[in-house]
Amino acid sequence: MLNVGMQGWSDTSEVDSLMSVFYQVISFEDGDAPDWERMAALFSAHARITRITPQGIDYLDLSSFRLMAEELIEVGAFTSFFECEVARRLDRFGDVLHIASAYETRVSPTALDYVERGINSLQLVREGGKWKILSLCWDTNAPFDLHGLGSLIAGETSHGQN
Amino acid sequence: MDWGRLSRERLAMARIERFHFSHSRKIDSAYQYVSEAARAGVILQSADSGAGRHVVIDGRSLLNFGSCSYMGLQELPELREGAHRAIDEYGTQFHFSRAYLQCPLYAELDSLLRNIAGRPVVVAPSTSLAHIAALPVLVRDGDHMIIDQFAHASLHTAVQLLSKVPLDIVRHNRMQALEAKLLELRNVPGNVWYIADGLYSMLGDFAPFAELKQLLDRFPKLRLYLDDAHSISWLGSCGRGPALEHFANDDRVVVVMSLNKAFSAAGGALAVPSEEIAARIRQCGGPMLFSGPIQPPMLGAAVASARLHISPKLGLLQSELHARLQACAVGIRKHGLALANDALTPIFQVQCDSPRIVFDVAEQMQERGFYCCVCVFPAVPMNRPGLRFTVTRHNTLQDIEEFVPALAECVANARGKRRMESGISVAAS
Repeated sequence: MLNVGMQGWSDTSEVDSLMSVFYQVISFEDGDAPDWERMAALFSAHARITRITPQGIDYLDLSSFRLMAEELIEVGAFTSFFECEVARRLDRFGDVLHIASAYETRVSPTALDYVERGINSLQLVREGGKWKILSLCWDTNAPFDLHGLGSLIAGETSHGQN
Repeated sequence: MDWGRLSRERLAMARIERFHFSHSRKIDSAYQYVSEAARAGVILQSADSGAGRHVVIDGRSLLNFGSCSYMGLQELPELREGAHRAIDEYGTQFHFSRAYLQCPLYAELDSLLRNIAGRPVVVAPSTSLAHIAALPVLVRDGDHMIIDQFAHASLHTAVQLLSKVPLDIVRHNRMQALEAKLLELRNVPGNVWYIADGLYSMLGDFAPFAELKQLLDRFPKLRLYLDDAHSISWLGSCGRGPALEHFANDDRVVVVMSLNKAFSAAGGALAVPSEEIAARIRQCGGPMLFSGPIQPPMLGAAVASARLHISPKLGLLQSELHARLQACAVGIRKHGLALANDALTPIFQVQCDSPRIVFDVAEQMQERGFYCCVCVFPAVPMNRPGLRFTVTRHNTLQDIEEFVPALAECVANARGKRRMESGISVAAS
């Protein structure tokens, strides 16, 4: 996976772990559901989740995001869900961290093609000595191509980190 | 968010402010996905001609592996003659509301269908209108409804008419989830209706009839409403379908039959437990009084088809279809195609890793002279894209022998292309 902007940071592994868990907990097998408790542990109590679609913008918190996801699962829009990170860019400003995380959604972990690709824009803050997600935002229809990842990962990225 | 620290008040608030996609949002979203598939040229196509073994699209004659006429009855002289005779006698339209006067062919059809179903029957203009007529009559104050998430869209539409009756959606064919829900609802004042398909039209799998029978034994308030449209004619005694094979004598089960599809005429029929229920639906079900009737040509075809269903000929035709289904299943196994399920039905769904692969396979198959259907969201879940094809009596064994290896090759080609593109993408990044 491409990963730019973390060189020389002391909490690299914490952010790596957070992002790894982030994609693990929203993925689930057929008949199962996202791991809501583990997901909640990743987010600040003040977090917002924003989903942009051609039909409108969903302004959510974790609670309403869960209800939205449960409605999609209930009506059968998804019976399982697998999303993984394929590239990442980080910009740090003190205790503020911005992550542009490119993802792929697949019908199974072993599927050879993706169903959707996109970029999750995450804003993290340092809370009680830990990074917590304050904002998660993505546009379901943003044009995206792996060939264009160069622009995602270009540029240097840390300002005022400890 | 720490869920453990959520206050009781906030949890209550969360329930009150339950997220719901708006009606317009759902329509707009469906329009987006359906438009994409239409632009790809894989749905909403018009045939130039063809109704049986071949279908002509854009001037090309293709072997037809997309038909719902599983028994191929529409080409039989008996049905054509039935339609012609009805036109000669009654014209193209019997110009009365059924609330006042119905075409005499209705009585004949009703009588024949009772013989097929083994119980009282109410004929409706379509299966969708049968649901809209029956469910508001059957479901009473104090009842509760549970619907399978993949039940046919017409059932989901019909239950929306009963907005004051509590409704739960359960995951597809999950009998444990249904059982848990039934336990939870043991104390409801009325009945609990489980609404589902007998055979699911996209994935080609049956409802778990044996388990449903066990649940009926355990839960006295349970009622079943099963849309068995895709099983009629090709399966069961007199072609009455597996739901009636299991539940014809159960007074807590209503089964809906299609007179389209394998029956090859038009309309739907509710097979109900009693004359009293039949009368209530006939007299109070909205579309039974206020919608147009089945018109004479198709009533004539339906009567002819029903006569055929109670004749020894039907069994022979069913055997011919089953030989084709077996041949296809053997070919599928031989070529290692991944199916959505193992049920031996005329509906096959080959699972693919993405809609791109599905569209690619469908296009390649058309280039090779075969017509089959794409199966993508919202017809199936986003994570279950596939290529849907049907095997009917129209298809010869030779057709099937050519179709299956061609499909296996096209799937392999499409997967190979995606694998290569994926490799190129990773290398480029």
